[in-house]
Amino acid sequence: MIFSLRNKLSIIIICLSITALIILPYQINDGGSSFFGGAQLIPNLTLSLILILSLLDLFINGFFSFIIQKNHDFLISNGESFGFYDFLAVLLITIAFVTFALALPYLGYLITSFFLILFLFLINGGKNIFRLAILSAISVIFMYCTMRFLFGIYLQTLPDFSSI
Amino acid sequence: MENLIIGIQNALTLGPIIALIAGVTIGIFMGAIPGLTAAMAIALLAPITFGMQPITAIAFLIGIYKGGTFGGSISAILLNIPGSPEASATSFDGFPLAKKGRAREALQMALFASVAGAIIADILLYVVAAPFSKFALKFGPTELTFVVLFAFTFVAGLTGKSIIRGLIACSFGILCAMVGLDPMSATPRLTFGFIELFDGLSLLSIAIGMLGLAEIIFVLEKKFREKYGLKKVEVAQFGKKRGPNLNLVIFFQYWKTILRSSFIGSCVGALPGIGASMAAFLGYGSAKKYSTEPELFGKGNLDGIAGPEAANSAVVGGSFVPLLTLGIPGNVTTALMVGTFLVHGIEPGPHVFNNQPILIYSIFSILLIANFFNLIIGLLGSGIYSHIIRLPEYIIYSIVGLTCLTGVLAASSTIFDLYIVIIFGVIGYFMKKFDYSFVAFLIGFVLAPEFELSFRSYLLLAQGDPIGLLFSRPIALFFFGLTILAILKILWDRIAKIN
Repeated sequence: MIFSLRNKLSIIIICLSITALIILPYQINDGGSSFFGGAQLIPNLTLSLILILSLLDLFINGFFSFIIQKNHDFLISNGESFGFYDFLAVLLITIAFVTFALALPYLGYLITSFFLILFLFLINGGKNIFRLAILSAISVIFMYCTMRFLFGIYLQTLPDFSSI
Repeated sequence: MENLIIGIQNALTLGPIIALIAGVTIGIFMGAIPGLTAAMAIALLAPITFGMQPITAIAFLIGIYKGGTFGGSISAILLNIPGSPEASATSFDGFPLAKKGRAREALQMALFASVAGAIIADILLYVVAAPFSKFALKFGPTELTFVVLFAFTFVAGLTGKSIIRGLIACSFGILCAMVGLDPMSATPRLTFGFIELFDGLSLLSIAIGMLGLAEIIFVLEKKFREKYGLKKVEVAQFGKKRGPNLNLVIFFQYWKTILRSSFIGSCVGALPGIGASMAAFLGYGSAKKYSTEPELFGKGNLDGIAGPEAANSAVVGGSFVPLLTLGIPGNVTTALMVGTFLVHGIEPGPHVFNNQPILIYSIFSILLIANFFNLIIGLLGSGIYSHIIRLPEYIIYSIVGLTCLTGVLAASSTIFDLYIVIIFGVIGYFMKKFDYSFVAFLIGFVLAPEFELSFRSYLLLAQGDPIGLLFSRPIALFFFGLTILAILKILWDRIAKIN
């Protein structure tokens, strides 16, 4: 299993490191200062280190996969697998949180948080939607009141569409 | 002496006391729930400390840290599921005792041993920290460069299954810390045109994303796997009988185990990267080695609870040695504390002993007082906590999800930081899944600014001859030697393990 999931990830990291090394001079303007004293020094060093270490990781894993034929089973037993359900979990949470971030400036904290927590309850295995809605409302109000009145932190309460 | 008295007086004021009570209560609660840790609690709740007095904020965080360390043992004993990784060894003998109907005795032994271990470690911290800080004052850029380099290597090598991936994670952490303005020339670096990134990435957003959000994704993934029958998750049984209280005479019979484990925990805590889990296993191992009844270990021996609990709690005090004397956090929790310290204008390191001696003695006093509250709240609350940990997972993790986002909003009030949390939540999930150590990443991120400044100063001081300068500095050379030895030892152990 030379192209095991772990090795594929190493290849992705190598490609990203090379790309980052290429774009680095455009991102950091050293103003002609010497390399050793310059702002590019540590980013260059760390990126090079990531590149070299990923190549080494790839080499070692590729080498060992020739020796250990059960490499794939070993990787799965260590949790190093990424299937449909793993992807679904990442996707659902990302969508939920990005939607929260996008809707927050318009709908305010109370409404967006209510829907977010209700969604989280449901995808995590909650059953009775009516009870969950009540629980969500209580959780959000409790959180809001704690922030607002106990710690004096203001969170946008109500919808505001003036910026549209 | 005067500073010590003022420090104690400061610690005994109303604000820090209330903060300690709240912190310990939250810490035990978070520690008791499997998957949630004291570090996560600190990441989530650090924003609310920004408005507090520095000493109150520190008391709150120390309370969480101490409470969280004990809290993990509650679910380890009652459910056979360690609430935090460092409580794993406690479950070996704690759960068999609970099944025999002696849960109360096991919980009390865990609590008493935990408190005793923490007190011994705090006293050791008090004795060791001040002299060591005087020694650390001699450190210049060259010494600091190699001390931090040693910390990076040690943490990267010991916190994951692979030293290579540990070093990659650490390098990635350093790279992320480079975002923002260059400290010497004020040149924007890796900002991609976003003005919001000029101040750099926020430690809090990264920690909340990687600790909180990544864990929520993991739990959801586990749910899906369970639902579709891909992987059955074991559900532990719990004996309903609580049983008798622990007799104090019996507790004091274990003083040797507690003393030994406390010393082990303090030493482990003082070394960056090893962590409380390793200390707990070492404590368990030594308790078994010196026990007169080693055959009873794993079947419900109180020695098997006292050893790991004293050791993992002693790590808290030990971890403050490198933090306060060198400014080097040895684990995730202390790394997160550095962020809060800096917000309050406290820069951990040897100078803090000279510049803010009262603060240092206040911290020492708080550490000791926190043990008292840990004992009281642990004794009074273990019954309540044992019910709370049975709340459905979907409720706990959904509320944690909302707390993650609310915490970031409270700290920064910008939507941009929410996106940072989401991005680092996904990155954290993949790092955890593929064993790229999160601890190494975070230590890299926290220490990178210090490392960069000292490393660039070292290169400028060297005037083209860095090796010559290194060999003219014995302390730097010592730490360079330690780094090489650490790499060789870690590699040797890994090869031996493979063979």
